[in-house]
Amino acid sequence: MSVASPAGTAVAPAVPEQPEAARVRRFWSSRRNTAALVALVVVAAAGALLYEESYIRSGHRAHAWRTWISDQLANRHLDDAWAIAGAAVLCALGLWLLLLAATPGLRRLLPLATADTDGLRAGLSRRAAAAMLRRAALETPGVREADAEVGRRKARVRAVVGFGDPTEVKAALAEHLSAERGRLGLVRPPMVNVKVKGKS
Amino acid sequence: MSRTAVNRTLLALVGLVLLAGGALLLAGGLDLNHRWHLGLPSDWTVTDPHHAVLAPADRVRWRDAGWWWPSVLAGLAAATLLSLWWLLAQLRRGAVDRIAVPDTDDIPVRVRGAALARAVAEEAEQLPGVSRARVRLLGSARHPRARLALTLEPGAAPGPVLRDLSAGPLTHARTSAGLAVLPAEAVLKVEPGPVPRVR
Repeated sequence: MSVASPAGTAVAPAVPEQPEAARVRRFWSSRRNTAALVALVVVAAAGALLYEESYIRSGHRAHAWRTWISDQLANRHLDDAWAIAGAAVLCALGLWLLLLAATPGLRRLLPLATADTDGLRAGLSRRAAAAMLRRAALETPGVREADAEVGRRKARVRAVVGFGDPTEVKAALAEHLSAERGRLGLVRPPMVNVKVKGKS
Repeated sequence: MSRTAVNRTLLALVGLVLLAGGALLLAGGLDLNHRWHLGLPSDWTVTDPHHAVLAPADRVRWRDAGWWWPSVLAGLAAATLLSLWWLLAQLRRGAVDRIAVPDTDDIPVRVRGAALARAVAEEAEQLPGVSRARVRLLGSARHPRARLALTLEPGAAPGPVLRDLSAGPLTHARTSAGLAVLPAEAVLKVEPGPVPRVR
């Protein structure tokens, strides 16, 4: 995809993609919302139990909710449908939290190349990349309507030709978009897939 | 430890506890210990599918032991306080109040974080191609870092904007606060705007 530079490649060994790929550092989400939600649930549950245990310990009778829970736990066997469903839900929740803890998140941000900017890291939102591609498509002569979607590896541009030969418009569009793809400045620019429709 | 690291560690811990508990109960309910020869200790209640999830006899098993109540109350109190701290940590914005200017030991010089952030934002908005900039300084007084949200004008390219940003506002902020490094993170958006039509 990258255009080989005419000079200077002889000095560096011809591995243009490898160091480029190694430099990709995703943005890692702080997982603030999930953490707040889990912390809130744990505070509520542990706080309620703490209150109830000290309440019982100081000689009171347990509240109805506490009695209901202990009755349910005592009367349901492990092979009860509710017990199995509950255990499956616990497993799924646990896996989900582990997944959230281990993955970067922030999939809407594409890392920008910042090799020549000291100490600065930057990301471009996928929506912004799509807006740039759509704008470039609309600037191409002959394109009447355009729509762009940018994924993490692929981008799709759909254009409607207003005038001119669709084949020529498509060629011009592809050229224009490949220039715009470079202008995005991403560490790993998405592959741009162009679809052109004739005038409807 | 950064908030991200704390959050991810604690989420993984809670996830592991839930997964382990759920897996044990599921193993009990589906009789997996017997079917798959897991070899769980035979006095574990989860080895018998007809056992109650938590029988009263199991619940009060250690109630008469001297350590039981103190341990239960201490454990619950620790869990409550820890999770309360965790919850409150999410509400903090983490903006740095004052930045210590190094090499001014005889006269302690400090720069207000918000003022420096505003200066960076104002200078960034003057850059060609940038329509709006929001800047916050996070971290500690000695090791601040900047977080920027930039909105680009329609048609602007991110590459030159980032170079200008690094050479201009960020370098000025770094030198005026006397810092050796000022790590920065920028998130770029593009302003929706009219597209010049070619006819």
